Amino acid sequence: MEMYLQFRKRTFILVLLSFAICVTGNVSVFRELRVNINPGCDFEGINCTSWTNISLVHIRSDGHNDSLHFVWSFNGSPSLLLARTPPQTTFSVNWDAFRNNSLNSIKFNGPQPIYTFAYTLNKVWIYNDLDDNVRIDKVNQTNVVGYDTSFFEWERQDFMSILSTSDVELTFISKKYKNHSLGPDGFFSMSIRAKELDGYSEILPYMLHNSNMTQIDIDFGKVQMNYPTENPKNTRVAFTFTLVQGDEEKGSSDDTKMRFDRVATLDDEHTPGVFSTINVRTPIVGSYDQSFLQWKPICYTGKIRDITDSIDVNAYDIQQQQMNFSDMTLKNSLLRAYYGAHLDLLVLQSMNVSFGTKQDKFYNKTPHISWTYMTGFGNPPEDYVSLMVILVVSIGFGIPVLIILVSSAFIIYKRLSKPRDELLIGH
Amino acid sequence: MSSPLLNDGTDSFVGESSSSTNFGENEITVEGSKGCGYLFCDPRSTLHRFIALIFMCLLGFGSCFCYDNPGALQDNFINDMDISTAQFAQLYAWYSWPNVVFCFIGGFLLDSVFGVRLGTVIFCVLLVLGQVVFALGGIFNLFWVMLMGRFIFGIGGESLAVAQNTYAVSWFKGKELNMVFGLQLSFARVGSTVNFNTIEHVYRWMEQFYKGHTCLGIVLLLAGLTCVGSLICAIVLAVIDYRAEKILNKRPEGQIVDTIRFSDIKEFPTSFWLMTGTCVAYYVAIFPFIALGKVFFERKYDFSADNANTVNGIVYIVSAFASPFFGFVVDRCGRNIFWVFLSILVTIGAHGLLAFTFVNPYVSMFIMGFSYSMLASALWPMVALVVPEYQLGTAYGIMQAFQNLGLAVISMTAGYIVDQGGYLILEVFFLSWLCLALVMILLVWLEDWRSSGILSMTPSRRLFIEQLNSRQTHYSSEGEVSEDESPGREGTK
Repeated sequence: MEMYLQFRKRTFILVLLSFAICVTGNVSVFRELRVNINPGCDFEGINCTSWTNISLVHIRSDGHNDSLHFVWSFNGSPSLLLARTPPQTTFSVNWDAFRNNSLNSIKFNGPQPIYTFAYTLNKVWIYNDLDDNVRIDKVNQTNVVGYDTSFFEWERQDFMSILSTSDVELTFISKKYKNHSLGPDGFFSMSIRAKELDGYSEILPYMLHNSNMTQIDIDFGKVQMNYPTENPKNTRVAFTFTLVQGDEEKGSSDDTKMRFDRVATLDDEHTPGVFSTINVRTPIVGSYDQSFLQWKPICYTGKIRDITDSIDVNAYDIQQQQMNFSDMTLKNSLLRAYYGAHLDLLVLQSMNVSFGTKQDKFYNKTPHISWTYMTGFGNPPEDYVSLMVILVVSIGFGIPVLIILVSSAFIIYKRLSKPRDELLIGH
Repeated sequence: MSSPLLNDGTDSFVGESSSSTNFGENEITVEGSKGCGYLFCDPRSTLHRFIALIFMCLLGFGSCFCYDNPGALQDNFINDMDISTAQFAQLYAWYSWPNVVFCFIGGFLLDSVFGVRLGTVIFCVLLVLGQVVFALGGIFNLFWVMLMGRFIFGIGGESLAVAQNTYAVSWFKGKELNMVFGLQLSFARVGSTVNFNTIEHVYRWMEQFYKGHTCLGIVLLLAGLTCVGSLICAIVLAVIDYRAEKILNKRPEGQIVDTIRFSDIKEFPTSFWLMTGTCVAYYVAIFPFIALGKVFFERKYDFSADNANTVNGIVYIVSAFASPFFGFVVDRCGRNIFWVFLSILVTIGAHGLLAFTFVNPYVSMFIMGFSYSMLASALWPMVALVVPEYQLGTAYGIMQAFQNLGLAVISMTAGYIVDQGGYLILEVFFLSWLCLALVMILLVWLEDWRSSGILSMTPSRRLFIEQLNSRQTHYSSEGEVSEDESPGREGTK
């Protein structure tokens, strides 16, 4: 009897605990953040670590068994290298080689990375959507112009940055493209945020994040690119990312390639009106050695994000991409700097996103696009229903059920104790 | 659309309370033959009354068509007028605000100040005026003008329902009256459905010529044509009615419900207040949801605008057919409380499906339509069972006032919730109101069980009890058996 009770007690505690875990979301491992901006930067003998026009940021998140590295490069095309290494591994840069765009200018010292994943935002597309078709693949291709992002000149905004062991925020702004300005007020900005603790982001869309990931906020405001013909009236914007997995060699089968998932969710508490999340994931077996990009299919047409100013984010199938030696962007990017010649053997995939909704009066209406996406290791986090909703629903249903039970019991009791002939006549 | 209270296709409360239901038959003899002229033009002929009936039903079409114009064009409003969902919801709130007061005044104005003919025409004019002002707000991009238009429209719309009922009582009586009320309600519902299915097409067609808020304003003007139609019906009815009164030498129709006396309020039983609570808590989970439903269906289920509108209008079309049916069922079976309880439970299920699953919303909306009809058919007659006849006017007035108050406040709250918390929170909000309605009806049930038990009885048992009570009264007052029965509240059985 006692063993049975103990078993019941244990099961109950387990159920309670799992409920608590489900309710409170992912339980993630404790990690400590460390940031190194331009580590060991050297320009002809001068220490260039604090220069704001060069940015190679190494964010390291150390846990007990491994370290997660987020290496951001804003030298030309904004790129990210994610690597998971044993804790002892260190990171170094050969600055002369890096500046010359040589191969293998950045590397990990000590035990080599267990897993790497990298991508670069290599193209910005401006297209003239004459018929309001919204999607870039439905537009006449003669109206589409692509701009290599390696010609953007980025300035790091040090006065805005936060660098602590629990919270990292850095902002990079570009106002120049190939020495031309992006317009009198034009700018292209990217902010990266990494946080220690789990929680929801403070800006729309309030996406869930944990210590395995970074949030990137992109603002593309009042940008006037040098369009070959007269500036298009029905402007729309799209981006292309090139993605590569460290051990994904060419010739591998399709089911090891990155895939694109649209996850439907019932809960739009954090992003009102948005019932799905887009995940681009790597399908490597083993729950940890995976990586992802995640976003909500919504972006905003103002610097200050407001739900009334939201438009769609359109996603496209992921495509294979050939490594093109004449493609300056890829040649000069972080991908080549890290993977070197090995990059030629790896599978490159490209992912496109465009911004816009039918009848939204195009980019020129505001003109601004604010978009956020997340990138990180492991499984992309899933939204969970908040405690408040659960409480309200339980109380809301609990009270009537309680009343029914109590009053039924009471009525039955009364009926049973009443003499029979009274029942015949009624009251 | 809160007017359905008075004409929900049940027979148990109206008409019988008026003391002037007999008209016409004992008066002037018919001159001439019973030929074609008689058929069409004599107010006693069935065909003529049928023609009058048609106009009576069409009277409500315009107001129901235009009531849900905002709901059917929600995203157009939000984009063209550049407003938030919270502001959009005010378009509904401002329709309800005047009616907190007008449900008392409207009947009084119709009976004592304007008379039903002039009164109906005046209210129709207000309807047209309100819709025009509403449309002008769109054309000139002035949101406050739109709200003002909805306010004026609201005054006309709700009072028009009272006018419809008054005409019905004047021209039909007895069992016919129930059918007429049912028909009027069904026509109104059809008007709402037609709105949901057509107005978006009109907007898209108009977009070829105009854009943005101008397009919206012009579409609203076009919708206003239905109100003009109602006005024409009102004028025709006034003519027909005037003629009928002259030929039949009718006494002017008595009030459909007696004078509103605020002193009655003290005497209302607890059951009545609980019923009012149930009514408010239930209706605020239906109409504000329909107002905001279109964008919800578009976003969550990826429906096109047309599909979203169709699904949104399902509650109305189902109710057009189901209300008379349920009216009949409840009349036969009684046990009103049980039907109300069941309907609230089923509506909770429907909202639960919408909130917590991705099941096709057509299913939930059909269910909601049926349960809404069930509740309407069972709840309003219950009031007549607990409140004495001479106080019914005040009782219904109070109930409708609270209902409008609830709708006004909750519409605005719902819009705010969507902006801040999203649609799941909105559904949970509605579910909690439905749970409150459930608690209230359970309390009514308990209260009823404790006292007379009349709300859970079948009609025959009710009659039996009443006969028993009246015989007892006769026995005690006169000591002799009398065959007279006091007219039961059910009257027509």
